[in-house]
Amino acid sequence: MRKTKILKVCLAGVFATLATLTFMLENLFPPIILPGARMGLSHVFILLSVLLLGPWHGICVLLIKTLVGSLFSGNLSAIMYSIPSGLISLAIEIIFIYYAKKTSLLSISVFGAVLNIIIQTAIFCLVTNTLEFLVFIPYLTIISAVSGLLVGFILYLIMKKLPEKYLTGV
Amino acid sequence: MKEKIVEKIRNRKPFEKADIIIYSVCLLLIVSLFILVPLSKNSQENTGFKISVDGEIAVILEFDKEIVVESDYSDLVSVEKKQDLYQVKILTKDKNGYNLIEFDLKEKTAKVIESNCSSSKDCVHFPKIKTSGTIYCAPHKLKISPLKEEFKSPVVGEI
Repeated sequence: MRKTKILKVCLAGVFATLATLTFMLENLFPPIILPGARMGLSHVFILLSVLLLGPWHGICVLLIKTLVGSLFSGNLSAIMYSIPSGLISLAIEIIFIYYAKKTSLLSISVFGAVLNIIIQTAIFCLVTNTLEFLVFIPYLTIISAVSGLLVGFILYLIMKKLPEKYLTGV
Repeated sequence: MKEKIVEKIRNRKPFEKADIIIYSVCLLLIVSLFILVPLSKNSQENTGFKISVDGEIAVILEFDKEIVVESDYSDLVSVEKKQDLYQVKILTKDKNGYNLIEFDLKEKTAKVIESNCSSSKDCVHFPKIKTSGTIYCAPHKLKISPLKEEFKSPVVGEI
């Protein structure tokens, strides 16, 4: 029992590192079509830690990724709008994963991504007092739905193709 | 408990029945956002641009006049003129950060061409602005917008 607890914390650390790394690498590439739009591939690791380690570990990984990621990328004000939106959408994704039995990972991921970008852009516009960027929301939502689909598909492949002992042995 | 979740997820197909509901909710959200958020294209002639830092106006550029730098920012802003191009370099208050903004007097456009704000550099990737639109650099709280256009906050439901 004690052993698996330690293993879980270690794995959560590994996932947090991987998520932060993907986030930072993504930052180096130019955004897709609109400023601020990104694939959000780091979400693969966050959802993976939710699935393999449990919801609380997943939330911790998300918080670490957001804090460390925005610290390293030099955009501290991003914490203000990415933590609330990330937490809300992850919470809803967790609820879907655990209680909505007739939903697939793909649709859950798409829904989370769409919700995340709407909340994040809305908070960004309010906090920075730049209401003109509300105009971007519909386009950003489409981009994030596509990237959510990609994240969900990667996650689906991981869950399906990896041998079972790696997934349940934790 | 946890192993059951992994097992359940592994057994779920890439497309389940309830997905239709989720996808249609997403689609509905996108469509309603397109309707709710009015796309204000301002077609009137633009006379110039303003740069503001944290809500305070720092630089005003009118196309037919000389560039005006507010007195508080005189030691932070350096202007270089090359034929039809104005290159304005504006430092942040602690003088560590900078944005290099290019105004094209002929095309009447503005663009951020260089910045050290963050590793993602969102302001550099903003499209050129002409008569409408805004460039915003979140880490430096720098905003570039057309002079004329006063933004009206969108009224929900108004198309």
